[in-house]
Amino acid sequence: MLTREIMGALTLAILWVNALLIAAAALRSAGEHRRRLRTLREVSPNEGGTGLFQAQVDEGAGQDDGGRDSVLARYELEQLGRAGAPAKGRRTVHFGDRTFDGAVLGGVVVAGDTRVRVSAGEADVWPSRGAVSAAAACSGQAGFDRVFDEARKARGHARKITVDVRVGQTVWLGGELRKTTGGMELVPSAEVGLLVSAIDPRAWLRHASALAAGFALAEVLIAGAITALVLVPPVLDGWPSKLGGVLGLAFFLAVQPLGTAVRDAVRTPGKAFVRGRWIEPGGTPAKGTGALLAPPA
Amino acid sequence: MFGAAGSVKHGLVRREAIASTREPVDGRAPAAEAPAAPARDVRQSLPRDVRQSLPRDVRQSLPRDVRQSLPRDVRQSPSRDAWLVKHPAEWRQIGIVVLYMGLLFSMYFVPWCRNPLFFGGACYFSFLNTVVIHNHLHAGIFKSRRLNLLWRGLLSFGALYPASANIPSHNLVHHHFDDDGQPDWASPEVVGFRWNLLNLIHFPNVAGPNTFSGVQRWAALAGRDDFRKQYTYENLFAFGVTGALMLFDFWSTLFFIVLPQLYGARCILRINLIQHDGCDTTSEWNHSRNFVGPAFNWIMCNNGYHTIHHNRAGVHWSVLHEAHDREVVPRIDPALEERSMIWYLLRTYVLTVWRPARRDVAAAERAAKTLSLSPREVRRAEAEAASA
Repeated sequence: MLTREIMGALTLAILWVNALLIAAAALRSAGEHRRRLRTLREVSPNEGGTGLFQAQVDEGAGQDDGGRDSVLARYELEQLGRAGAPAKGRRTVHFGDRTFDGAVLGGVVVAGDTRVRVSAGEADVWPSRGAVSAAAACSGQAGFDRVFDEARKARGHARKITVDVRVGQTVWLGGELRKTTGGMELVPSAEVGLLVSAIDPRAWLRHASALAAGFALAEVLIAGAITALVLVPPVLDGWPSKLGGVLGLAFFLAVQPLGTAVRDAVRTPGKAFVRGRWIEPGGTPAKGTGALLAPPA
Repeated sequence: MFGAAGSVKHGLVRREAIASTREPVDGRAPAAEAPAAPARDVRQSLPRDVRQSLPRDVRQSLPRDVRQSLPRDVRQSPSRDAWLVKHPAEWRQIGIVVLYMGLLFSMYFVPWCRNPLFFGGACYFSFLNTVVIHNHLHAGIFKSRRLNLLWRGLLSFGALYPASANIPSHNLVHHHFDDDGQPDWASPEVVGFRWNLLNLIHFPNVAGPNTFSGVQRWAALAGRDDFRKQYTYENLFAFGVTGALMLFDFWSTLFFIVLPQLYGARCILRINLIQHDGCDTTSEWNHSRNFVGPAFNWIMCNNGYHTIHHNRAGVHWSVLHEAHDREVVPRIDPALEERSMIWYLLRTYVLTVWRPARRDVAAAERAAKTLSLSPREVRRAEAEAASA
């Protein structure tokens, strides 16, 4: 016979195996970020080496919207927009992410009194969240109409969100800094790759690592508290134990999406999901998470 | 609640209407307004693949020799004479669900039934219930549309998730391994432990939330009103009945209803890992692992034949083995043809510690004669139209 005690033990075992696996996956993410953080040790632009340094963009080989050579690096996200269900009577477009790309277009940065040449090539480009949101926002009613007309068709509206790292901008650069006959040069390294970031990568990595590890710890503590509640006498009979059972089921169902939400939240800024939704401008904005509303026309 | 049957205002009605005229080989009843049969000489002059795509009424009017040249799975269309169901084989699926419900409720109401045999049986049949969800969401079991929608509610209770989630997650995304350029929500790559057994256990913890957040995004698009209504109904029914049972007897419900429900739901997610890990999802014939044991496929309603199911989603499950032998066997790496799932699981997740290294499984396909297959985008567009 499968007594209540046997089934209770089995249920708690299932809860714990899954809680620990979700915690292990979060700790794995935290560990990856900690490892990357260790490779991004600060290097002096005068001396060279592999690591990270802060600089200001002085020259960019890539052209900006006005046709001027001012872009050092570019982040690109390809999205597909599809017509969404109306939100309080207003038309919407929902965007899904397709591919993330980053590249150095070439240029020169200045750190103190040292000029460093950065050669064109593939790179991990980390834009600021604000810059991506601004680039993804709706430009107004005319822009919305144009996008919506395509988004309602079967193939949807494909677009590229582009964020440039331009002349005058402060950036963090990671890679191998070496001396050449023409001066200092930054090239990709096996350890770091080539990183161009508009935000402090070390601060971001510390935060992401702490978030993932904190989630793992909190999740295990909550599982422990629920287990303790289930085991309050009379075990599997009294109200505290039953409340523990209800919370245990809720925890089991909720911790999985929470785990994937944390995993998504600690995706590096160059690969972080943007998605988003446009709500037709004009009138009172409808409430909605992730809405990328156009500024008032 | 879902609009009058036959109304073309609602997407779900449109889906059945479209499917019955576009894909007559998938087990659906032909539409009453099927086009008139073309003249005999015209029909005979049509290429074979065009003839195969003709509605059943038209196909039946083909000359006998032409009709017999078609493969059996194309010839064998649903019988109009079968009572209630579109295909006689569907009674096997109905029997599985009835037996599953019997196991659940006998454990719930009869303390003597709370033994390992009943519990193990309920867990296994819960998994089979999700297999029925899979088949039913490809081709509705019943002739009656209303009955098909109600049946989805019962299946949802059996799995504790809305059965209609399969339309976007399985039919539209998984079948094409692609979500508008992003990976399948249940791609084997969502887990990355070196110890492979952990991947098997952990996989539903990631693929499940990926799937349901993807379904939410898909359901938020325009034209999905009927889907959202049906999805809500299934959620309410599944969680409502389970919640009501909990109010009556919490622990018995948790142990003897919810555990089997979750077991089945998590196993059907795990199947994605089992059937695709180590395969080449970019290839046309080596993207899936097949389990070809006849007894296994009898109880699994031929869900072991996964490659042909991906490539010919419209073919009825009862004849998949014939299409598999004809089209897949010459093109698939023999390592992707497993006789026994149990032996595969033991070998891959217990007797081997680390995740196996990938290898080029698509070589067999390149060496074999090419076979006409619509591009994935076209197949996805067809599935999208059928699910609109």
